[in-house]
Amino acid sequence: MQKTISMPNVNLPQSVQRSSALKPIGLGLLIAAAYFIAIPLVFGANGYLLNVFTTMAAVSFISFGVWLTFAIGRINLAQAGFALIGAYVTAILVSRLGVSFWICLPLSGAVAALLGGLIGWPVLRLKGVYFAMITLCITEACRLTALSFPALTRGAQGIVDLPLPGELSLFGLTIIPAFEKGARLPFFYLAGTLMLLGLGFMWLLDTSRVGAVFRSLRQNEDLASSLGINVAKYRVVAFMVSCFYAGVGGAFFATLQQNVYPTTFQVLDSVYFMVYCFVGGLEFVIGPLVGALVMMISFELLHEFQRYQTVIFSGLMILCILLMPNGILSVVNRSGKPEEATNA
Amino acid sequence: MTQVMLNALVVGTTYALIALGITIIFSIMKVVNFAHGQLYMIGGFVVYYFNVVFGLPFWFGLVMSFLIVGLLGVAMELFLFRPVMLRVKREEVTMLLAMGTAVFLESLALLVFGEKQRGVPPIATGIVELFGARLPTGRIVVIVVAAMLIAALMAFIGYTKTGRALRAMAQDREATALQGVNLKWLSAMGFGLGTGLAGLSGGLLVAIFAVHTGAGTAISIKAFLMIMIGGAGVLSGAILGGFVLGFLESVGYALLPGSLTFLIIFLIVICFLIVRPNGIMGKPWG
Amino acid sequence: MLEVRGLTKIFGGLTAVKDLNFTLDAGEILSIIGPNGAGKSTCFKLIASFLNPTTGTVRFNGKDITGIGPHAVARHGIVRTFQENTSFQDMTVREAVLLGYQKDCKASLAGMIFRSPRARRDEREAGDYADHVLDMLGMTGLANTVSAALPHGMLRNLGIAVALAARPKLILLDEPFAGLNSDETKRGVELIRKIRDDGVTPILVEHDMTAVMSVSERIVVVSFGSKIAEGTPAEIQQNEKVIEAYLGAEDTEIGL
Ligand SMILES: Nc1ncnc2c1ncn2[C@@H]1O[C@H](COP(=O)(O)OP(=O)(O)OP(=O)(O)O)[C@@H](O)[C@H]1O
Ligand SMILES: [Mg+2]
Repeated sequence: MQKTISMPNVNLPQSVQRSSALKPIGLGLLIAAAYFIAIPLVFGANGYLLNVFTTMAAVSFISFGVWLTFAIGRINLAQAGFALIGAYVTAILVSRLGVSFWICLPLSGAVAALLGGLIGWPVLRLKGVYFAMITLCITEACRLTALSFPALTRGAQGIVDLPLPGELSLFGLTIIPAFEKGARLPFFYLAGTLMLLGLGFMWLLDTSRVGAVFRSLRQNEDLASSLGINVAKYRVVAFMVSCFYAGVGGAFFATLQQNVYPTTFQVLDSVYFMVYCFVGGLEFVIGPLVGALVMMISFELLHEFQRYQTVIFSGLMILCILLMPNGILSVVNRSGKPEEATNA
Repeated sequence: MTQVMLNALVVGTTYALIALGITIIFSIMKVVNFAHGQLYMIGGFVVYYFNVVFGLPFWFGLVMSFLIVGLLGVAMELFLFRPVMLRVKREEVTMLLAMGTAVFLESLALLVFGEKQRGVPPIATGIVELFGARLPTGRIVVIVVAAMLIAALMAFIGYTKTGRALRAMAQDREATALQGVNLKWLSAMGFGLGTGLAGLSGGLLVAIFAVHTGAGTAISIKAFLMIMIGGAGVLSGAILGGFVLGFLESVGYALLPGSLTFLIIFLIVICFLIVRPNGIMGKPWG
Repeated sequence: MLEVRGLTKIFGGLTAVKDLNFTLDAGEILSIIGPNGAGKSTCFKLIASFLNPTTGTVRFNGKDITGIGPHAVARHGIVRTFQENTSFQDMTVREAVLLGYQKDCKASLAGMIFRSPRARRDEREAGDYADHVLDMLGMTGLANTVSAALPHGMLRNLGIAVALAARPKLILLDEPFAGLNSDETKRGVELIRKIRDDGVTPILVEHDMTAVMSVSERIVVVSFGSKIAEGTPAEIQQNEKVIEAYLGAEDTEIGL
């Protein structure tokens, strides 16, 4: 069988690639439709629920970064720290210098990415538990920094009463109108846009050669470097992208809540970002989104248990790990990869 | 200065105890117990309840803190970590499990113990003068007890049959199993010993510092710092890490405002790990 | 082509490689042999810059490449394989081989992510080259098999395939025949000749003496880190020091 049809082998991968690109794009459109049309139609009147979805979208955006660091084989618990950095960059620039939120949003990501690169360069040499512990310390260090320099960050009092995003216009053309006080839909749409852009970029990255290089780092750094892959460079790139996501997400939350405190993002948040990735599964780009959705909805469903909410929630989480140690999406195999297609 | 050094000694000995607990678990299970700080906190509350609420002697409470938190650890190993570790594809899941346990224990503690800060009456009165520095007798007692516990633990691990089996298991599980050692019971016991130490140090330190339900995370972070300094999985490294952190912290608190101390310690540790990724005594790991 | 001068590596108290000197011309098949623990793999790691030598230099085509880092050495055209089975577990054979092409990709990072024309051309070239390599190793039928599912013999082959995909000028093969049966070894020997004829110079570290004697044009023998002999297979088989070293190490018989 192999001998007779050996010719199409060269063309096959490309045609496979093309058809397998359609499925994710379709899925992306489906998510977009569900988020931008279905949710507002169904829950539009319920401001509280709209807020839950806004948070869910933004939180999964931040978690995409954690997912990417998992892809290179590192357990990243610094995400909350870099989100805090992004939040403070926006808060300080908006409140002190009156810089537009629309500039601050990408800028916060850039600052976080830059700092992430500086810190990541040495720290990424550590692996496994060591990396997890040191990144946990980084999150804590960010909180302490916010506390220690009140001249800039106003310490424990936090920076409060941040203005809402103003109008975004280009050449006199209004692209996004100024956010109105109390209106929840603008934030809802903004979070959704971020989430979809974030997801789309992750998908492009993951399916590109860069994604393959990242995966190779997780599986075998030595082999990768023997092939001429600059392991240190790619690690830092992945970490910087991750920090960028954190910074942008942090800036979003600062603006959504209109305040920042040193406790806005802390160790527990880092843990949750990681949990979302796990619950959704580490095999798929969409994992963090699925994880955040499942976790946040179940958390809200437990709302009526009031003070027992967290206990039940974490108890369920432990139960989940016990029952499905490899994530919810682990039931599905990484698609498009027929295992052992040919066997003599 | 003597004052600072003595403080460093007090903090260092108790920290060493904490670090030893997390190291034992790490070396036999290859798991970093993120719930260590929460177990420490529970140990503190156990002593508080026995001593203050039930009116029993402090020392009785201390023994109970070891037993109760130790048994909790045995249960964690048997019903959580073992079944998960047998089935997971990626080792990170066990770390996540430990984190989930930490959140669970902390929120449960909040329900059971409440939010209030709790302490116990001083275990000894008076002040001792030592090399020109003044130390409350209570602290001296804590140092002595902690040092004795460390010595006892090292003796246990170094010279008893169980201790040797634990060490063998830490090095090579399969080979130890081949020698007819019951790994199942041994690793549960090792885990229990590690968590018991967390409870014990929490119980001991409640005599000096009050405890509250949110104390866990900070303690866990300190424990991580200690094993990163000393080297993960090495007992002597844990003790060393404990003293180094105790020293840095005491000096820092004497010279700097509160939050800055730990910020600087973090920076020092990060820089240190760049030079020595495996800690002072650590073996290559990874 | 390759020039190793006074290469020495000391681990703590143990001298793994001691004052090693040898040179290699392009197109020559050289083997390094020696008893277990002689320092052969360490020597490879030093050449490929996976370890920094205590003293000594490695020059490649006239350029000093000592300790410049594994990826930089690979970019100069030296690629090593590993003694143990080493692969990207979750990748299919073809994906792994495609990755080998990485150092010859010319697109920028952003270009790769956003599929610039450059990146697409890279991908086409990588694909063609991967198919060529797989064909050469007779692994075309396994292209879509996940590495972890490969049998041992194919895994050794995959290691070589991935290294070849990086289009090296010099390939360092660390025990390519370890654990292969005599049939597979015979094909391996053929493969090494084919590689050489393709313009890639191979250096072998190998314990299978029959294979070494038949494939090598020159052999360097190391024992306890030092070179004790060098010459053609025929010369090496007669060499007293070599026989002694092997007998002393109670290793398997040398030669035929
Ligand atoms: N990273 C290291 N640290 C300390 N000692 C090492 C290290 N790597 C190798 N050695 C020691 O150096 C010596 C040479 O090892 P090497 O792996 O180069 O031998 P080899 O010739 O490849 O043997 P084999 O035929 O078994 O593969 C051995 O004694 C080994 O124990
Ligand atoms: Mg070797």
